[in-house]
Amino acid sequence: MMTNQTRPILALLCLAVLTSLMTSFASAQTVNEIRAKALYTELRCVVCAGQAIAESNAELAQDMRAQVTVLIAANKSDAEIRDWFVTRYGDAVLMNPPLKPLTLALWFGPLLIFVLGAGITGLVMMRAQSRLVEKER
Amino acid sequence: MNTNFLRMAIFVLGAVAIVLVGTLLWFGLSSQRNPADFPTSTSIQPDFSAFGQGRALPGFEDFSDIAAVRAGVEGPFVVNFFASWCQPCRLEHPYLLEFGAANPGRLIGLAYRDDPINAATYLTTDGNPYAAVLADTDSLNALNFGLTGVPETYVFSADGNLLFRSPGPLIGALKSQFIDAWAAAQK
Repeated sequence: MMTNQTRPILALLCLAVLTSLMTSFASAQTVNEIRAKALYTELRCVVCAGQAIAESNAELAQDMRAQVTVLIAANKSDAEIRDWFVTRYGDAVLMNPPLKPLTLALWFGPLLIFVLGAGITGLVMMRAQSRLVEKER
Repeated sequence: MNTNFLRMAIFVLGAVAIVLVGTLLWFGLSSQRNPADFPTSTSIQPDFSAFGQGRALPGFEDFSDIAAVRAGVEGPFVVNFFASWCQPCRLEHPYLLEFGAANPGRLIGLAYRDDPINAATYLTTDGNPYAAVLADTDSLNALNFGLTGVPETYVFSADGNLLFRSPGPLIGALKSQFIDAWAAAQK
């Protein structure tokens, strides 16, 4: 039997359940949107030079964005979604090339050239210094 | 420190730097290489999981069963992505008609991002080179095949291994490469 006292408590309970359901649904949606947006910036538009699919309105980029949301809705992880595109388009579909033996030069080449340059500069300065010292003697 | 040693070290490091940067420039500035082109590769296998899915073109319903066409002929086959809105597709269309007539049952067409009605009109007025043709709804086959644009043509061996892909219309150099690849696929 429902008394006059339990009725407001029940109503409150219903409201609480309803709002928590609504917010969890909404947050799940926004989480997916955030994930999709992050993936859009990681995947290359294959028909536009040097652009991510986030920035491009090319039809293929639209298709790729749609596919990302389809894969997210199918509960695929970010890594699985990246792999989905890599198996079809190759590593070039990623904006950041993966670090592997073949791409070592790509990642560390500029550092190597910088170290070489710094080394040469240092040696030239040392040589000038030692010449100066020799002259003073 | 010894001046001679320093002079030597500067010379060696300088030579290494010049060779390194020179090699980078040599390959990076090659006239053969267009950095705007997306690298297409035959080492990437298309995914056939959605092959045969799509919408029939109105009036071409008899040509809509890709699986039946594939089952009907043994041997290598060709998949061509096209669209009625695509101008370069019209350049290769006469050759496709010729190829389709010479190789019955081997040429499969997929209309990319095209209204099935427009694609049907295109094939009615310009001729249908395809043994089977569908509109690729949701572009699922396009993504599964690693498509970078239309037209794009794929040569497959009988068991579905990718042998050659032409990332552009079958005219000029791409056409002769395609002819060679198709001849090699027969062996």
